[in-house]
Amino acid sequence: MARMKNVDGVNIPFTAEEETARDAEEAAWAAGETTRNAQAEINRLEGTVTPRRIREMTTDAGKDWVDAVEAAIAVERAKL
Amino acid sequence: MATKITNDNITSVDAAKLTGTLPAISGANLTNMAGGGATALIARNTFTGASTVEITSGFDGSVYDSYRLIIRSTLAAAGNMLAMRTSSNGGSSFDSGGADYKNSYWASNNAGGDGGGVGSGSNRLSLHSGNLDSDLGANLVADVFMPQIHESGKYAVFFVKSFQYLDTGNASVGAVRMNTWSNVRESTSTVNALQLFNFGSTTHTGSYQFIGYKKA
Repeated sequence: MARMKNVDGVNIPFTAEEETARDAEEAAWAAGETTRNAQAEINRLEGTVTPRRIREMTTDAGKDWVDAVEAAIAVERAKL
Repeated sequence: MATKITNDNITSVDAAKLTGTLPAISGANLTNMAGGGATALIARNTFTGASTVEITSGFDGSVYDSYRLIIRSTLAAAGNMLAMRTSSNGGSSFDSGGADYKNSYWASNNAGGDGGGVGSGSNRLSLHSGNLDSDLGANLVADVFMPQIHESGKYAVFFVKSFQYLDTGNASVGAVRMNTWSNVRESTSTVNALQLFNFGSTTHTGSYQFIGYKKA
């Protein structure tokens, strides 16, 4: 089924040229999924190392927790 | 002041004597009214199953200084990102070069992740952060303010506040996310059309309000 674009409230079918361009954009986006997911996970993991977690690094358990996060980040970085 | 009618023309009206309602008056007939900063609804449209949404009319530098675009959209499938592009030829084509835009953001989600940054260059104006690859049924509400679309020799700037919430939560991104963006189209060409589009193969459904802020 042809794609539709909504122009000022009116649905208009894509032209053949627009379909081709859109196919290329979607393919490029799909090809980058692994990288995007890895970057999103890195951002999430980095965000979990809060000031409280850093203060808790004075304990062995606290150090282990941060080490585990660093290891998880390394796994994701390898996917980039 | 008395109410006067001279030769079938109303020349003055005593408000205290006006006990009924005025008839509906076309906005086109309401002239010479102080309007600086007042808002006007340029367009409100709905879209269903659209791959792209384009706004190609309503930009008028003689009437408006600034614009606001309020978007409510639901993506139909996972793996997508809603973004925006500009046009300076009325929508005949939209700017998609890899360094046409620059985006800076701050975002947080309820899984405990916060983050921010400035991109080096982009082929889109971002409306939300991260990606929705693992999420299904993402609802996005975005409020885009455009304060200097018509400023001569200036880049067009876009302030975005958006909120996305997910029908099915995801352990990595959480069930909700808030985003604040300051984005720019790195060109002094006048923007006179906008395109909303998805990265990914899905369509989206929703509505938008396009509002102008009057110059005077």
